[in-house]
Amino acid sequence: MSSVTKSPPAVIRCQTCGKEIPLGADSCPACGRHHSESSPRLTLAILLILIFAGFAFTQYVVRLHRATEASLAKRWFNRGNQDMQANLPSLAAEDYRTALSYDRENRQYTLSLAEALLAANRMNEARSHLTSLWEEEPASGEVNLALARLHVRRGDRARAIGYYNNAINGVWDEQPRQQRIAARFELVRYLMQQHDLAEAQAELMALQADGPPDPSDQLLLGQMLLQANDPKRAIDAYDIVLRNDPRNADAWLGKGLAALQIGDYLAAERALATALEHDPNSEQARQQLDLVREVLRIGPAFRGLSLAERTQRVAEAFSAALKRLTGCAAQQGYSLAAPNTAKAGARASAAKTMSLPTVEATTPAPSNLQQLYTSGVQKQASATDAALRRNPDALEPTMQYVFEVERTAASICPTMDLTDRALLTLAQNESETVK
Amino acid sequence: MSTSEPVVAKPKDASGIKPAVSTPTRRQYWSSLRTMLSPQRFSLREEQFFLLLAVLIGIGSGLAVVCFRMSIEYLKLHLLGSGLLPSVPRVFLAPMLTGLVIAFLVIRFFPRARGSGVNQTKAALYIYDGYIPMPTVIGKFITSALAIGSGQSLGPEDPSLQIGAGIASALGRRLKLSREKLRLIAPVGAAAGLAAAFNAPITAVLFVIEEVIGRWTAGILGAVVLSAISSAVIERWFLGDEPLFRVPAYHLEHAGELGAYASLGVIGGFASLAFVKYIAYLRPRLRQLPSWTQYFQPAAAGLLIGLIGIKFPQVMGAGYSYMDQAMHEQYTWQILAILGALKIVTTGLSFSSGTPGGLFAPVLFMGAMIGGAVGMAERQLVPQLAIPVGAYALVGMGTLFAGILRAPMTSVFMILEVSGNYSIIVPVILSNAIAYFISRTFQPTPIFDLLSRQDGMDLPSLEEEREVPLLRVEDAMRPPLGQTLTGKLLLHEARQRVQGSAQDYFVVGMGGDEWSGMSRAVLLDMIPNSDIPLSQVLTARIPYLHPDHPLDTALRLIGGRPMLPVVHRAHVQQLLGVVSLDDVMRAYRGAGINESHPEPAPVVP
Repeated sequence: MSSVTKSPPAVIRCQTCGKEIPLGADSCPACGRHHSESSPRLTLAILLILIFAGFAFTQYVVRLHRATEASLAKRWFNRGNQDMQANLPSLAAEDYRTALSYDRENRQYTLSLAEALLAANRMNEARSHLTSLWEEEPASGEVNLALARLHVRRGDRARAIGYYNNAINGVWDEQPRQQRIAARFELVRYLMQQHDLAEAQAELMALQADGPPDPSDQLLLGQMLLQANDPKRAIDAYDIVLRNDPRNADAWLGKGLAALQIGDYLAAERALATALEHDPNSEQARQQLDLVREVLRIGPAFRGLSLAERTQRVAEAFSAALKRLTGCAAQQGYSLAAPNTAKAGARASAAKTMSLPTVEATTPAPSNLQQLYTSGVQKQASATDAALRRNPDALEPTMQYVFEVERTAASICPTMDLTDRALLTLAQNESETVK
Repeated sequence: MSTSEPVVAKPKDASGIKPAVSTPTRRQYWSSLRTMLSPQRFSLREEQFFLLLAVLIGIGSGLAVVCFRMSIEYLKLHLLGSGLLPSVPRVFLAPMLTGLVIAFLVIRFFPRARGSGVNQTKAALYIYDGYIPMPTVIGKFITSALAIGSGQSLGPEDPSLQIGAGIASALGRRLKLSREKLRLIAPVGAAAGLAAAFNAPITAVLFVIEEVIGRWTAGILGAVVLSAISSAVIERWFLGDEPLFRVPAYHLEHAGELGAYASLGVIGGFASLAFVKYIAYLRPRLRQLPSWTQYFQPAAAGLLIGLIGIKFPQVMGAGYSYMDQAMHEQYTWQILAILGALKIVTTGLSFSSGTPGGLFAPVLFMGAMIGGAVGMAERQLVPQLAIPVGAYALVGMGTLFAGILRAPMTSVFMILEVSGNYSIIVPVILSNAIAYFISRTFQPTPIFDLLSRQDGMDLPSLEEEREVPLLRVEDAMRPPLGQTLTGKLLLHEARQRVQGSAQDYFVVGMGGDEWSGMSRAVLLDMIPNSDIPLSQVLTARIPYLHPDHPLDTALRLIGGRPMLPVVHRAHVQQLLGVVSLDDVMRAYRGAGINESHPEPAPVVP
């Protein structure tokens, strides 16, 4: 190894008791320990051996400790997961924190801790952990999604949308495509909650262009498109599902609803009937099918109807609308005043012939209801089947009046019978119906 | 001042022609190989060997400190359980019962293991010629691990420092180093121990220089740095290179933020002061109690800490994980303030009771909590200041470190090293400076000096050294009234000048950067009317000084000469003055150096 050239010390110290010993003395006068002249090279060699031995020992100890820590971290993490499932986020946060103290670099633990803190409404702590994670990996989809959720909770719309977009375009370790799709769905839901349908539609179009491979995602896409008032694209999404699974009752139901929204009642009836055929227990399909059939029964604007049929339907719709108006007023306790006192008797007789409920009301009706009622009473004579046959030009204004009544009444009296629901559906699709 | 000529290595064969070489025989070949590999060929001078030894000390200390930390974790796991919030019986019983064991071990077997370890290392350097007994190292390892693992409010850094120093000392003795090197080897090991404990080699080097060695000396700087780095490498090899804290990102965005940090400096300064005064009050009083009580003092401290720990378990042990939580805004400012205050109380109890363990981690804990509390309170008062609480906690650590341990440079670099964030340097410096100023104004003696004086030792410190005014040559020199000659003067001209002067000694400018001197008597003894220039007669040269040289340099150089010339640094031939031994002594007497020595503190038996 090496030899040492050094100046000799004047005195040396005893290695046992530390007392000074004259140079050259064989033993310590204080404790009597014998001092041999061992070679520094030998000492160095022993030192190297000791270092190697120490290295091996330390390696063993550290490995043992690491294994213990890993096991403890896993145990506390699992305990945290159990607490989260039991809806105990504060307890779960402590468990995750303990897990993290044994495995500080584990991103999964940190993320779970942040999510638990978020669930426990401890926003500042969650934000701090998530920000640290984000600084380490700004492109991480998971972290960006968690940050988006945090900002949703904090009501910071701009940042929430920003982090959602980061998550959609971010890096995901597992199933990246599915994760991005799920993140975009979450963004759409958030945008819909914010009543930002235009942005939601744009995101849904992007989703549709991406073409989610999972039928359940396509089904969800259809539902969301429907909610975002984009029924045509919803039908496309449902068609993709039905191409692979023609017996999918949910897809048929969705397609039926989309067709109903467009105003394609025949297609809606077919789809809803098929949905009911594949799932006879679907109450929604049954109700919607009844509605569509009522629309088809009462709608006056369908192609192929004779003038007689049209006038009859319009007259029937007018009667239903007037009945709906007086019924709603009675239900709310409003008194509808007759157009003038001379015609009070006419009103009473009209109510009698239409078997309107007679409610002793004292509160004056809102002006819009009163106006509609006055207008209806005035139109009554010209809205009979015979009068309409004589004057087919009155068909459209009469139906416009019916739609106005149904829309107004729906905003005041949400409960209605099937015919009124059908008329309201027609009113909502007015532009398509009255052509 | 004389300077040595640079040595230029000359090529062995200046002609560049390769000499004719005869083919060696096998015997000659083996002979030359043996010569090449002989121990003599690899002989190292002591300085070189010392550097090699520093690396080995670093490795050994690193291994020991890693094992020390593992021991603490193992004991903590078994004494306090695996959860961050230990159960009440464990919190109540573990520190108290372990305290009894620690007291027994310290009193019966390892009396020198008491305390933090910094002063013991310093004492080894300045009093015991670098001697730290191996049993003390073993005792420190065992008792500190027990104390910290059981929840006593102490940290592992200072004991690591002493363990490193002890290993280095044992090695130096074994290798029979010279007394000078043996004395210096303890700080080398101390730096290694601290670097491994903190995973921060720069901090370790600076702390050892500021607090252990107590003066800037180039003599062992290389060895200290080498040992710290090799120790940190070993620590990272085994425990990973992750920083001590996961610090949230911080950027100084507005100058107004500095005002917030200045307020942290003020609060931190007074908190530091409170802690030092508390230790200064409590420690001597506990040690003055009957000796049998020392068996129960660590247990009593443990009992009180346990009682506090039932409600606030965060104050137990080193508390690094809780500092991390403070940085991540887990606590309200009220809780942070309470934790900071309770840590002052519990650390004072643990430390004053004689339980072995360090002050580093508790000081950082106090700083993190107080910093976090100030940050959160300021955020509520001034919501426009969007400074992360983590940044406050980090600056708070440095602030308390500067205020309590009074190592301002170490505190700044420590924060940089543990955070890896250089944006924080301005707030750290500002806050540290304020805390340091407050602490120094109201508590002139730093805590380690205070402790050493309580123990009856008077050890030097860098802070005290800074306080002593440095005398320079300009403080002693006087104008060269008629005492200057030039080498160009002819002898008879020089004689005429001398005869007309009342001075006994003259400095002679020889041209270039050379000066000489001669006495009146010698000159008058020379042949009169000679036309020889003075420069031919005077062959001896005298050293010269510059006005900014320390007066100590003048003392070293003056030797037996009556005086030395003091010359301009840019124009060496321009004489600014002369300085004699009397001038030097007069300057020292005028400064009253002996009177400035501080009063020793009362010694605790």
